[in-house]
Amino acid sequence: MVALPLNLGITEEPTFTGLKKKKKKQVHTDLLDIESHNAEEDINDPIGEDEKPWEGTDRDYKYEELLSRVFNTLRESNPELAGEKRKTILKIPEVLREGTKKTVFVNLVDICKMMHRQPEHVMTFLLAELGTSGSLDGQQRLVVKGRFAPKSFEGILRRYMNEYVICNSCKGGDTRIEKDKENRLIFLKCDKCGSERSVAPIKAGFVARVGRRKAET
Amino acid sequence: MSELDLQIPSAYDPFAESNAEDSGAGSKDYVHIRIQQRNGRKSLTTVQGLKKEYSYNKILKDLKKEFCCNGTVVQDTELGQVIQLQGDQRKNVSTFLTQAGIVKKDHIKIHGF
Repeated sequence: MVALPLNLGITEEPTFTGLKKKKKKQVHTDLLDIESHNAEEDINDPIGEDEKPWEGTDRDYKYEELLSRVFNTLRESNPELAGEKRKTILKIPEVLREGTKKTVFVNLVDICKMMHRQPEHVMTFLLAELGTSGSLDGQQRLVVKGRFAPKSFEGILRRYMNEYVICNSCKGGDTRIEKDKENRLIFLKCDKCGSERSVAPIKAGFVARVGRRKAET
Repeated sequence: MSELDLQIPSAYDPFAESNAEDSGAGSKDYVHIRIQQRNGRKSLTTVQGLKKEYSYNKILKDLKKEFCCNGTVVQDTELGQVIQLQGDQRKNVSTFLTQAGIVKKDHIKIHGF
């Protein structure tokens, strides 16, 4: 039996990075001579040479650096494909006061329709975040106990969108919630780019006892 | 015959790295800071999810002195011990906990309006 040298557990250096690195170094030292070499590398080199974190050292590119380079180039040449658009269709939540102690959120169902979400899901989130109780009345309006400003609703809706509506990879708003039957997990599946991510179920958290305490029997 | 040698797993433990990171303070558990409304402009701040090893009474006492407010520790059946403070102290609590080194900023979640 021949004993072979084992390289287990040691990461192998990808061999192609060495070549690329040298070309880049030449670009910086002799700008005049190397323009012909740059013909191949032009696709990868962005137009404006800002200080790149890998300048001057001979280390490998990190994954984040490569990723940011790709996105920069993509953004410059094909801005539409980069898909940075957010959901700019946010409607302004309309809130009214009902009496002195209650706030009515009129637009809930409309906003839910814009987000392609169930009103119950959004309602659970709102009530958990506000820390109060509330319900949907006959006209599908959300009546919340307490006095809240429209700005606070906006903030909470923004948080809901960032967590439960917007896809992380394409920033699109066409997502749906799916329940994985086997594991009882909740997934967010994007219709545009097809990516899935898991989201936590909405938990109410600790609600302190506020208000009158009736005599406990 | 030589292939058998190649399949012997090395002494490198792939989980050593993740174990070292995970054994820090509460990797999966978050500290939730919530706010509730009381009468008029008054509100109540709730801090839930701190690690059980901490002495809640000492933390509470420091918080009360720092922010000049009243507070208490409530025992909840499921959620353990919860700190309640009077007033809207969410930002204050957040900076206090990060500066004291009790929780990292990534593990704090602020809820509420």
